[in-house]
Amino acid sequence: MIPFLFALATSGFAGAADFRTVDEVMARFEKEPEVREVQEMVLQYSKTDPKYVNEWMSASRNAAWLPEISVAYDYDNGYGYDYAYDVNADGELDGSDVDNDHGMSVRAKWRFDRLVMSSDRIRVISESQDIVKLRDKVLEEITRLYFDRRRLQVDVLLAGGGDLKTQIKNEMRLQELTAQIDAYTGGRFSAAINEK
Amino acid sequence: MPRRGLLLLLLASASARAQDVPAPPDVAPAAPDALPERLGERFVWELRAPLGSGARAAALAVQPLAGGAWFVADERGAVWVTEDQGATWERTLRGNGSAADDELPDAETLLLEAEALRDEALDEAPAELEVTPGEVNGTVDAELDPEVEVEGDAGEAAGIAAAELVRQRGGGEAVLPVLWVDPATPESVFLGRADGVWRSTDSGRTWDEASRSSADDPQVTMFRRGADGVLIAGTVAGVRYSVDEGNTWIHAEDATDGARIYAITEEASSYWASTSRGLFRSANGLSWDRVALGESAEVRAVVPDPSWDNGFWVATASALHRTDDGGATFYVAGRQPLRGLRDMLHMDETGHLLAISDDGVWESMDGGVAWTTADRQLGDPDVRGVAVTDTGVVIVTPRGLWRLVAPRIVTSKSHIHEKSLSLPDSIRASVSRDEMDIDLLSLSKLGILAAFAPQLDLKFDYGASAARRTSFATLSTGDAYDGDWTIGAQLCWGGCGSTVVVEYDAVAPEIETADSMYVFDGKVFDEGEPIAAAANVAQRIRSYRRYLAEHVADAWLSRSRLVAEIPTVRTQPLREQVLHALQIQELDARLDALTNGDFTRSITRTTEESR
Repeated sequence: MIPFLFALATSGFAGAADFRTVDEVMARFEKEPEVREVQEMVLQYSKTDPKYVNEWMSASRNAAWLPEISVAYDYDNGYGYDYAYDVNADGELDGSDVDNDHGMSVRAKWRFDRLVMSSDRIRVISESQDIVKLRDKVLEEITRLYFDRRRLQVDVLLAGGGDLKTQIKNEMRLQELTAQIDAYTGGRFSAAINEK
Repeated sequence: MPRRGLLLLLLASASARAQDVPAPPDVAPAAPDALPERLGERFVWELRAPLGSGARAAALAVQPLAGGAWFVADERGAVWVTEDQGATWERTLRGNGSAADDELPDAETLLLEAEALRDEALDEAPAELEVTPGEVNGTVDAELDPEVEVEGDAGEAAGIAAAELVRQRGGGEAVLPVLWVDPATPESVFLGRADGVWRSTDSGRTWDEASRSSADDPQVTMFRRGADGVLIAGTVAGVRYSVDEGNTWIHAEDATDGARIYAITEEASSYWASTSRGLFRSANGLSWDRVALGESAEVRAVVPDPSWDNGFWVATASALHRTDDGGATFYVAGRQPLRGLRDMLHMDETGHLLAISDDGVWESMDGGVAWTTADRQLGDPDVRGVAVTDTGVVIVTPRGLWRLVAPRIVTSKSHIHEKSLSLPDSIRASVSRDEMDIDLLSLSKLGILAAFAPQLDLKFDYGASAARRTSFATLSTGDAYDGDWTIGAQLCWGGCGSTVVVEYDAVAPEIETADSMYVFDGKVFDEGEPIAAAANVAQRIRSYRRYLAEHVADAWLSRSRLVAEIPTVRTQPLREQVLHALQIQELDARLDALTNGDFTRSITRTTEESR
């Protein structure tokens, strides 16, 4: 496999003498995603975007408006036969009756205290705390990785390739950082570089 | 050599230096080429890139090689390695207890055991935390500060809580991790932290746990080699030895038992232990005798004098002692107290001492008689480690690693005016994100409202019956149809379950949920006690808000400093300028992550020429 990142960073670049300003150096990386784009990739991949948490919070609030509904139906079928007995004869059917009873009940119950505070809502708030911590943690880590990688690229760009051992070491480190960023973004980072 | 001779030598040396030292350049190099005459006058401290992830640096070690790696341990014993003098860091060992952050207790497992363990789980908080006298003087009360976040198993939680309480209340000096590079084999690095001794044999890239802390092997506070290559460790309760590179430790009971060991120094054919109980001497590093200094104060450092055979200093918190005869006699060389002294070094020039403390960096040019501060632009006085590298002096404070650099002369005439979120606004933007809103769990208000909120029941019943009756006696048949419906509404406050009666048998009886349980943060709650659960969650939010405030403040202050340095950095090589710009961008991105992008949206920049 062609070490594309190292080639990107070194091929065509003669060294620090080619650059005069910070902006010129930074312009060399215009075709790569910006850090905020990478942060967005992480949020999407890890499903820790604030919109998910807001949806949870909203759902837990509004769920209390929905009543507990219970529906019941019962059916009662009763029948009976009446026999009349005479002393000189066998028993004879005298009469019969059949009853069909249908019953239906619908019940709706609202617990207004759950509009104020409910265990479900507290659970959502608790879970959202874990999500916030996870989000802050992965964003911190991805930001560090992104700029570690960018610093290495700048070093390679301005200091030149160095000897073969240094070039290989830099290339391996660059690939490692790229792979780590891909792990956090589900491969979107490398895909975005290739697209551009 | 008599003392008068030393004084003359110092004066002669100082005089010669005054003539030889060249004037400082207009634009100084990034690092000093040689150790200066007086560091505090000619150099300033520069904070290298912070470690990241909110780590607070606690210990420092460097490989004694040109371009060797530097190692920093944070307060939890995580190890960070840099091979480019602090420009970039890589964490190679996680902190003690870090796993607990990622592996919260399995709620389902806890629920399965909740019935049996309920009482224990709810009464889990320890009644009192005892702190070993060797570590901290005094006892810490048991009522846990609500700001203290307790995680992990009980032992670890107690340890974290104790350390935090000690730190918050200033009850004593907490035991910090310690790093040590074996000078004989620089690729071997040792780490002592709360859970035991860790060892790396590949310059800190990978780590193995060598031994675990225990009652008999307490936390290590320093390492060094003794006679015949024996590994010596000072601990919070005496000296230990190892002949298998730290896998097992030998406790040879001696006079140092119970004393916290700060350092062991080899000088004048003896080993000298600086301890909380004074100075101890050993011929081989294995058995120790106490040395009378005329006072019982703890000794923090023994500093050999390379220009004087058998001469060294002994630093206590109240005075600096000196011996010129290998420890046979001592005299007081300086009486200036150095509060919170942690370590002392002798620099290249005769009589030049450098001291680090929790009150900054101090230096003396006259063998410890007079001390002056050497902490220009040191934004954090809590200095915890010092080392002399091939590029100059470096120290660590909780904020990170600092190095001495020459102050740069500003040549640019342009100034950048930047308007961005202020520090309070940045913190507010971070802690007031939707998910961090503490008002969600405003207990007093919500508790009262919930108690007065009613339950509403609406009920609709419909019944229909059909009956057919046949009489053979009268030869008649009759049909009867009957139907009725009712609708009802009921509001009730409390105990509603028993007041609603449903008339049909088929309706299931009311089932109360008071016996069901759920788990928050490792604790078990009844369904019917949401306020208790809310209090638990609110405590977690408060704790994290405090962490966020510190984190944002750290990033904001670092960024402000970098922005202020922009005119100065313009005089430096292009690489330094680019790296400086990247540092600002990184801090912007971190602040954006914590403020949902509010920070960058607030920035407006203008550049104008000064007159």
